[in-house]
Amino acid sequence: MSRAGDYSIVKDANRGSELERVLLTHGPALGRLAASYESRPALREELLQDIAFALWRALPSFRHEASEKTFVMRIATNRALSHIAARPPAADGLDAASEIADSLPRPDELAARIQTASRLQQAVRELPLALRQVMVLAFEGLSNEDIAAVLGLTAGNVGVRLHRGKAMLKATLGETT
Amino acid sequence: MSDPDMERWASAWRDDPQSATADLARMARRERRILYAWIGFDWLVGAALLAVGAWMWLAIGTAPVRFAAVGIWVLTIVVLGFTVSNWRGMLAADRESAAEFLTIAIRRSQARLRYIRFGWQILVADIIVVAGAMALEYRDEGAARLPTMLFSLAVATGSVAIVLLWWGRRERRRAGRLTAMQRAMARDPENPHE
Repeated sequence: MSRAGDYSIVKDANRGSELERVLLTHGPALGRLAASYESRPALREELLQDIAFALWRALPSFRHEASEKTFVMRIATNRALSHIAARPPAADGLDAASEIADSLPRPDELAARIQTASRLQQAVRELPLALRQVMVLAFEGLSNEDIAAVLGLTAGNVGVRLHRGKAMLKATLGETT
Repeated sequence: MSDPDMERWASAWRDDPQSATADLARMARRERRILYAWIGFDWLVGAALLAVGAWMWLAIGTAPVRFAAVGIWVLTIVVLGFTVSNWRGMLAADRESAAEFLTIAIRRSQARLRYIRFGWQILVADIIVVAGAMALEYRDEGAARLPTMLFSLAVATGSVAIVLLWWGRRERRRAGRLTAMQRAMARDPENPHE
């Protein structure tokens, strides 16, 4: 049925080229972010589609109060949350800490595991949601303050989560501290 | 980022782009077309129902059909009014922080559940309207067409009920996951069992 808020959106036809510029600039980062929330390729494409559509809707409201990258990552993170709410992963990462501890790989597998980005991604996907979010945004180059703005946290809380995320990622990848 | 581990991981992370940018642009254009189609379909269905009611009133014009036509008009207007008021202001949350977004997403989910409950009420109202039309039909024309009308009513009502049941279950599960995510994000990472 009708959604009143959508009609003003439809009227704006000039936003397509702006969207393409934003996607050209941030597309790879968006792809990596999507991969950190969704491992299944078909559903990852669906998530990327949701993100692109959400960006198209949100771009007119961008007021340059934060950097464009922060704005884009905020929207993408929110879409990813919606996505995993509607289509939960096979192994839910909301409370995965205990599962990770039980499934640490053997040392001879570790060197190979950290070599590839895809394996790093897999390890990131295994992080609990609250830690995964800050780690992904930090990997994409956002400052603690920007991450705090994206997630609605304090910068101090982001620092704590980064510290804990690092420790858990090291444990998952089998790196010694 | 002065932490060597973070720099090393970030470098490995960014070496692996997962998506072609051109594909994203294509997807966005496709979504935009879907939005146009979605909005067009909404109003088309509303207009079609109002037109069907007018046709029933003018072309057939018997008492039961006029009764049903009025029912269609009233229910269509009520549903469109409820839809607009239920969704107003619910679509502009994507630019908020994740914590705020989750709060609004839960509110949206509650709005969808309200919409589904309203759907059950409309279904009951629809049955009452059709029952009224059938009573008038029986009074004026006898029972000859009643079996067909009853069969049509049963098929239509059953189909709508199945959709509402499926949608309601799906939406309740979704609301549960959103609430779980909100709890997970709010949890103190130093004390995850809090």
